[in-house]
Amino acid sequence: MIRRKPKKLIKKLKELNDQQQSEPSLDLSLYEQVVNELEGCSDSEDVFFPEHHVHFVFFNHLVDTDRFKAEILDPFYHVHKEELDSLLNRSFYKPVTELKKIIEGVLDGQVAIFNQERVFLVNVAGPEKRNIQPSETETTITGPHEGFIESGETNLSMIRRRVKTSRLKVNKLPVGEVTKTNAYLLYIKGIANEELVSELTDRIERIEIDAVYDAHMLSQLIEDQPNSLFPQFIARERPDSIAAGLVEGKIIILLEGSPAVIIAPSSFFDFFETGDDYYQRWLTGTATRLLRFGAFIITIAFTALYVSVTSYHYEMIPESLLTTLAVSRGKVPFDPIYEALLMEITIEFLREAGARLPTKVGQTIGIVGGIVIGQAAVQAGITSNVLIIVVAISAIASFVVPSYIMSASIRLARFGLILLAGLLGNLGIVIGLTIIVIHLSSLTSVGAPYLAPLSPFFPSDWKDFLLRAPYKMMKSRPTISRSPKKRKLKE
Amino acid sequence: MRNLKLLVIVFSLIFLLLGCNDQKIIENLGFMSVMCFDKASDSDEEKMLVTSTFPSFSDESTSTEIKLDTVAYSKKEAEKQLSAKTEQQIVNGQIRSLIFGEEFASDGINRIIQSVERDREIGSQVKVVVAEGEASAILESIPIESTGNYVDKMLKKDTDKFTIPYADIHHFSRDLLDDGIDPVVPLIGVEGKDVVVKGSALFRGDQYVGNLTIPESKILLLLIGKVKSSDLVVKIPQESGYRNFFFSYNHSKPKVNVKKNGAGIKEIRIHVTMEGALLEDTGSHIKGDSPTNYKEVEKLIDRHLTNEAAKLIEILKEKQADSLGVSRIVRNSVSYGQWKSMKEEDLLEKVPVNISFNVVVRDNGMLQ
Repeated sequence: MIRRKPKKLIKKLKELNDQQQSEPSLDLSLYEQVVNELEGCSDSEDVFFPEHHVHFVFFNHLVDTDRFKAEILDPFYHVHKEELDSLLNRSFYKPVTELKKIIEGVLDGQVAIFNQERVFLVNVAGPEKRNIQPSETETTITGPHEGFIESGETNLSMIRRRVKTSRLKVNKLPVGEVTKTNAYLLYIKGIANEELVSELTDRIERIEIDAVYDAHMLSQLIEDQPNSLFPQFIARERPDSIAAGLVEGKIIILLEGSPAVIIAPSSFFDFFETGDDYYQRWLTGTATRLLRFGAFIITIAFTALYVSVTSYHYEMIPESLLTTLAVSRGKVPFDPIYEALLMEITIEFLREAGARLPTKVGQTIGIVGGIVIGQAAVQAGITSNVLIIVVAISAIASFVVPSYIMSASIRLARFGLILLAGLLGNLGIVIGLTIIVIHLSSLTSVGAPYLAPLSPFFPSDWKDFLLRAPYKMMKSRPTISRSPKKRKLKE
Repeated sequence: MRNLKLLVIVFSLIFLLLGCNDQKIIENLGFMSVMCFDKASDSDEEKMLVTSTFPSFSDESTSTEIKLDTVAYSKKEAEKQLSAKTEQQIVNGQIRSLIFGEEFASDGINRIIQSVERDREIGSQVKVVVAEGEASAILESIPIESTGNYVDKMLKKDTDKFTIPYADIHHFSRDLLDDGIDPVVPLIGVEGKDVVVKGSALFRGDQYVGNLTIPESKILLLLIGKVKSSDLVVKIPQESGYRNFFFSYNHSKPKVNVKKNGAGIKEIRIHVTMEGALLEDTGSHIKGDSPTNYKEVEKLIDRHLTNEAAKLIEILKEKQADSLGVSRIVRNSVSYGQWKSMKEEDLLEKVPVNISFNVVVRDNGMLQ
C-alpha cells in the first residue's frame, strides 16, 4: 500500500505552509522578496524600465516571446508616464499582493510586473512544446488521429473543443511536494457522480510523494489495489476517447507533462476497446472486439496449453497432429516446460530490446530475432518448430490487446500459467486461470467492480461489451460510472 | 495479509497436488493406434496374442511405425509386456480401433471391452471391429504408416454411408448389457493384398456368431433406424440376364408395430418408407420422368427388399443373434411383469417378423 497522509494532517500542513509563506518580511518590498526567492535561478530575467520604474520578472523560456513583446514590451515602450496607471488598470494585468502567488505565477510562465508597491501578473505563458501529433501508443485507422501531448493546457483545449458545455468542470490539484505538478480533474456536472469526484479529489490530495511525472504513475498512486498485477485505471492518449469517457459519466484525470489521461472508473474490459470499434460499422466493430478477446485467451493460455499437452495430455490431440508434434520435439534435449520458458524469455528479450533501441539499430533486432533465433534454434535442435509457432502466435496475440500496460500484465501472468502447466498439466492451467479470475473479480476501480458487466451481471451494459451494438440501442451510460443520469439524452 | 493467505493456499495446493504428477512427454511415448487380439497358438485357452503398432520418433523428420506382438492373459498385461520390448513408454490414449480375430471373438470379448472401458485414457469412441481370420493379418496389409488412422478412416467412410453399422465401445457395451438386443460391429478382412470392408459381424452376447455381407448389412441398418443417405444396388433377374438398379435414397425410416393377441405377441410389423432417386436402370423403360412411370420400378424394388429382409431375418434366427433387437421391440410393448415372465432367448425364434417396404422414387437423377 502506498502511504497516504491522513486528511487532518494535510490541513494542518497547509495552514502551516500558508503562515510561513505569508509571514510578512516587513523591511523588504515585494520586489526584493521575489528577487531573493529567485536568487540562484540564473535562467530568470529581470527587465527594468527606468523611465516608469517598472520591473518585469519572468522566465524567458516559459513565456511566449512574441506575446511578451506585443502585449507587454510594446505598450510600455509607447506609453507616457501619466498613462501608465490606466494601462495597468486593464483587467489584463492582474494585481497580486501575496509573495507565494507571485512566485507560483512566475514559475507558471507569467510575467510579474512591479511598479512601486504594486505587483501585477500577466499571462503570456507559452513554453516550448511539441506539436500535436498522432499518438504513438494508441493509433487508429479511422477516426481522429490527434493525440495528447505533454502540455496540460493544450490537452485541456483538445478536450474542451470536443465537449462544449459549461457543465464540464475542471478541478486543479497540485501533486508532488517538490514538483507541484498540476493534475486536472475533469467531469461533467450532472452526468458524473459527485461522490466519485470527491473521492478521487481526496485520493489525489492525499498522495504523499515528492514528484509525479506521468499519469500512469499517478494512476498507481490512487488505485484501489496498488499491488495488483492489473491496472485499475485505463489511461488513454486520444482526446476522442476522453470525451467519450466524460459523456459516459466517468471522471478524467489529466496530469501536466503527461500525454496519458486517466479515465476512472475503468473495468477490465475497457482495456480491450479502441476508438476504431466505435467508428467502424457496428458489425465489424463487434467482430474486432471478439477477435481481441480471442487474442487475450490465446496470449494467456496458448503456450501453457502446449506445455501441458506435450508433457501430460497426449490423448487430447488428434493422432496426425501428435505425430507432427512428437517428430518436431524428437531432437530437443529439454522438457517442454524448459523449452517453452526459454523461448518465451527470448521473445521477451527481443521485445524489450526492440522497444528501447533507436529505430536505426532496431532493424538488426528483427533480423537477429527472426532468422537466428527462429530458424537456427530449430536447426540446431534446441527447440521445436511447433513451439516457435506457438510462441510467435501468443506474442502476436499479446500485441492485439490495445493497452500496452494491460498487455504487459497479461504477458507476466502467462509465465505463471506456463509454470503451473509444466508442474500439473491442465489441472495447473485451470488452477492458474481460477486464481486469475478470483483475483480479477476481487478488484475494484474507485469502488466499481472490475469485471463489470460480466460479474456482477449488468445486462444493459452488454450492448457495449462483447458486442458494440448499434448506437440506437446504446441508450444508457455504463453502470459502473454510477451516473445520476443513467439514460442518455432524455432529461 | 490477504495476499499472504492466497500465497499459502496456492503453494499448499501445488504441493498437495504434486503426487498427481503423471508426466508423459510426447516424444518418449509409443502411442498405440490399434490393438489386435487373436487366440494364441498356445494350448492355454485363456492366452491371447496381442499385436499393436505405434510410431517411433528416432529420426528428426519422419516417423516410422513399429509393430510389436506379445502373448498375455489380459490386455493390461499385454501392454506392460509390449512396453518392455521398446524404449518408448507404451500408452493407449490414442487407440482408434480394437480389432478382434474371428476365432478370438467367438470366445467372447467382454473382458477386453471391460478393460478398455475402465481405462481413463481411452475415450468411449474407440471402434470395435472383427477381422476375418487373424486380426494381425490386417496390420500386415495396410499400406501406409499410420495403421490405426487408416482403419479408422476406412470404417468412418462406410458408417457415414450407412453401409456397415457404427460400433464403438460405448455402443457395444450398451447393446451387450441392454435386454433384448445383441451388438453388431463392422467386419473387415484381407483380400489379396488389400484390407477391405466385408460387412457386419453378428454377436450373441459378447460372442461372435456369424456375419452379414454388405448388402445384408444395409438392409439391417434400414430396419434398425433412420438412414439419412445411402444407396442400394438392386439386381432383378429377367428373362435374359439381370435388370440393375442403382437406387440412391436420402431418407428412410422404419415404423415398428407390435400386433398382440390377448397377452401374447402375434407378430412384429416393420414398415420401412424410403425416398430417393433412381440413378441407374439398365432395363430403362422410363420415358420422361413422370411419377406414374416409376410405379413399376418401385414395386420391383419393394419386392426385392422384402425378400432380402426375410432372408436376413432367417440368418439372424439361425445364428440366434438378435442384432435387430426383436426382443427389445417386444420388451418395449409389454409391462415389466410380462417381460420378466417371457423367455428372452425364445423371442427371436418364436415371434414372426413381418417386413414391408414402401419405396418412393422421387426422380431419376439429373436429366439434362
